[in-house]
Amino acid sequence: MSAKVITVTSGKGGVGKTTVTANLAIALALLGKRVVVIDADIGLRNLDVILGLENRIVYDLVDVVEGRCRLRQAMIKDKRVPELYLIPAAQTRDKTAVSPSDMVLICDQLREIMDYVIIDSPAGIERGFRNAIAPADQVLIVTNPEIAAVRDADRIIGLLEADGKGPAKLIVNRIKASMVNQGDMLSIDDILDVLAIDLIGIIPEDESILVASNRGSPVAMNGVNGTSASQAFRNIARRLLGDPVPFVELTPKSSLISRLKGWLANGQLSKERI
Amino acid sequence: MVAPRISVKGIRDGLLINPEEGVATAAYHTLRQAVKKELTSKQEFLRGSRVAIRLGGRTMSAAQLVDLKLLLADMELELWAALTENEETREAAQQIGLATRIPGSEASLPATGLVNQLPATETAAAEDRAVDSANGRIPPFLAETGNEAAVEAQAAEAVVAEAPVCQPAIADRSAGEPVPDNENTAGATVAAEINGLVSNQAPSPDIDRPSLAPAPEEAGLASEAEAGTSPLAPARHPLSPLAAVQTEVVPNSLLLRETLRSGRAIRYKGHVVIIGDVNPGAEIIAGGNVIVWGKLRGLVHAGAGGDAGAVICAMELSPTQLRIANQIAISPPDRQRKSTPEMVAIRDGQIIAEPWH
Repeated sequence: MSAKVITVTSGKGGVGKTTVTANLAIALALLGKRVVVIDADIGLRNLDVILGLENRIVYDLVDVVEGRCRLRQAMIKDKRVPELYLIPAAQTRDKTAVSPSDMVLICDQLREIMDYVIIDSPAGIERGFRNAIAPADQVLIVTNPEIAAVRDADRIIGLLEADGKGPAKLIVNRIKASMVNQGDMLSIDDILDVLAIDLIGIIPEDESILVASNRGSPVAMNGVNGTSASQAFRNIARRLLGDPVPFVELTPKSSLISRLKGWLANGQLSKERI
Repeated sequence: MVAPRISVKGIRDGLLINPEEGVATAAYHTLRQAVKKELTSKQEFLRGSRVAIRLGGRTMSAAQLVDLKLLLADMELELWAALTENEETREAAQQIGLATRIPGSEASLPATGLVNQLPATETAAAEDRAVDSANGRIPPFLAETGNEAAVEAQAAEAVVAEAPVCQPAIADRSAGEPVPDNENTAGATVAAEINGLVSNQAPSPDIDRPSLAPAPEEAGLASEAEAGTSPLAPARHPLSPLAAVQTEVVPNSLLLRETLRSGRAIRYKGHVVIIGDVNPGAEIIAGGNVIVWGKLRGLVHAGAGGDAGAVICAMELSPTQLRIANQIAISPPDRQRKSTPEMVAIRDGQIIAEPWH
């Protein structure tokens, strides 16, 4: 039994790494996998808040690294899903409290008892990022359909290649079909054209994601009854399991006229996919 | 006979004391004397440093570690980590809140079963980095139980965090009934066991890593060893690590007139008074009582040295987590936010919030 270690990173901040990590972990847990999420953003921890587990923290990642507690003691169990655990980051320390080799050691222990270890990387390309990718078997890069985010994603892909980490996979977050159709937003194809890596998920812009994160109960908790966003996360989870889920083509939520405008602008009728 | 020697070298996190030949295997008092002699000669130079000590395979009791810590505290040095290959010593160190590894450093190798397989590339660079002690970190307050049954139970329940010692969280006395218990009984049992063990063990669980809360006999031992000198040096720097938490007689209070934002950690052996808010992500760990003249939204641990009589007062109470002595409470999810002053204390073994008159 050996778990797969997946690191979610982006380079740019605010693109939705933590949200994707939380939802993906929940989706995998709902598919019956034993999942542990590690918040590697020491000093700016958020994953515990998004998962609604903030008030149950006693020990954290740094306590494990410094030998102040056992690994199991730092694993907070989420009671809403069968097998989901959080190892929170320390808030009163900084990235240097943990080294890449510490992360490798911790993940090696977790591999024995889990199916998936998902690491939420901090933004940037410095120590925190290095910590997060050190143990990774698979890296997922989150980007938004905006030039700056795609640039940063490209830089990250370059760093991962230089590090000899296998090919990363891409998640495009916060896409708005209507804006893409009007030519106001980069399309999936535009992004893939620049980054040239495999796509594993597309998440539509959806206010319910923000609302759910603020409540500490991410959208993926809703399972099959959820919105298109929760469906998108579940699709990513299934693709990670090797299930060839097609990118479902959805008609955009825009009006016929705006679609025609988009068609005229792009020379084709683009569609929303998740 | 060659005089026993120790060496002191600078590492990323302060100093590393390395007993050399003769001392490494000698009896405890020899080690103690060697450490005292070496450090006294360099006291002026080293003062204020954080210190880790390499103990090799030596078996040391918690009492001896506390003694060592107090010895160093007298020289204004803060013992924060004990690197050991000995399981017993490691458990003792964890009990009194010492780290047993130095993260990312080869110095941690002998201290753990985890073998550092990667080249420790950052060690050299990291050693040059200064440590932010003002914004330093508070270690968790629960001691490792060392009891296999309890540990098993914890593993099954996945962690102590799972078993808030005070089940009904912050019950509202003015509202009458305690909040219904939404934790399972296994959690409660674990908690009870932890309590039992903790209260039976000599060094009480202490969140205050740099300082410790020696139980009376420990303190006595230390002061005897010091031939009548007080083991409790008064705090010279209010926010810096302290010699010891003594909850019976709290000599000092710390008054801060500012809002504590996320990431701030205040640890103090006496009472703490904050004129301002305590935001989520901020922590106050105090040996005595804690008063927040503002909104309390972060984490507060009062009576961290084991004083169950400590209280927490706030003008508005919506904390992330509260701890008094060795009990933990969280706000019940349906708790109404009230903008009235409240006081939190342990009543009948439970952490209770009541109107503050």
